[in-house]
Amino acid sequence: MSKNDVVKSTLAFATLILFWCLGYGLSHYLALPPALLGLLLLFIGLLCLGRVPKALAHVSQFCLRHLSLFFIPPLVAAWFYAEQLGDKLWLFLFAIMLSTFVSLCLTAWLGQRFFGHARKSVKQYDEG
Amino acid sequence: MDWHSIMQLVSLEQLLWITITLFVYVLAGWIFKFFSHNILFHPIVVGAILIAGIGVVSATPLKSYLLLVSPINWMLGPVTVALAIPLYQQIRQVYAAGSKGVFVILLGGCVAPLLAIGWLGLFDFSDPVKLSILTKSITTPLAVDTANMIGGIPELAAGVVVITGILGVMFSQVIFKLTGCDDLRAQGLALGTISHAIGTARAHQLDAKAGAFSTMALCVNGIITAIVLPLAFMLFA
Repeated sequence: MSKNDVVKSTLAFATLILFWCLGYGLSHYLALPPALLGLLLLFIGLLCLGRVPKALAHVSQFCLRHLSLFFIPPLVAAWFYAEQLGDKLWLFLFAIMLSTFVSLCLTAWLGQRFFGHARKSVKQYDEG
Repeated sequence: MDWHSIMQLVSLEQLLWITITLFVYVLAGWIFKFFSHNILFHPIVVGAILIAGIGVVSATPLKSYLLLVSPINWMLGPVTVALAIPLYQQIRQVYAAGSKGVFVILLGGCVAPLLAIGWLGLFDFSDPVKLSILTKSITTPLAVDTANMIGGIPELAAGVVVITGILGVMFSQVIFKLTGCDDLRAQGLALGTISHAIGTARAHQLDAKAGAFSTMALCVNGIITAIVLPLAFMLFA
């Protein structure tokens, strides 16, 4: 990684922070999560620009690949709340299980009905 | 700001626990790879178990651990913003999937949380607990923020999201057989809509096309849910 790349990556990360700050500022006027607003602002910015700068693409790919890191502490904390549920924990888990199973069945079935008939053409797209 | 106040801001203990968390994350990644990406050994789960183990051994209370590693949370906002890039890159997929694809995502995005909260409504759960399940099918960074806004418990919401993701991937093989779903785009769409980022990782393993559709579904469902839920609560609550 050359010195130039480091500077570019730092700038790209600074861009992400900047857009988050913009989103945070906007969240005082719009009752939406700050990160979501930052995401939408950056998305609009990219639409205006018409392309994704290389350094930004690299940095975001890196960040998203390691997204799991950020959820280790909340998952540890979730256990604390799960313990508080006591006997009802199983009912709570069952709610997650049931809704995941049913909704996945529904989307898979519906998706297959919508897209399944054009199966042959999928193979050609695979290379792209 | 002089050195003394900077050192107060970031204590040695804080640095130690952040390093431990980073180390555990890398280790969990290796374990995941070692078990050839078996979903039961997902880095988040293994990482959380390892951290909990270290916490118990070193007699560190959970609350102080969370406080010590809070700098990790500061980075979550900017990282969430990075989701704009895959969304932009997948915008062509949204056109390709058309209104039908968006309909599938919307349906999945509505049915999953409504069914879950409907089930919880049958029993005696407190409101924050019930609300924490509403963000179950959207990617964790958006879920944590959204749960916070609608009065849920962010940590519990994060746990629900992770469990949903893992269950979705576990169920997916059976369900794809059951529903005769063999189209890769439909599989990607279902995985991304219901199992967010964890499902998307699985879809990328299946096929590049499935991965693209899954990323698209993850972004669309996450963003729409994160917009609709807080607005709905502002209007009706």
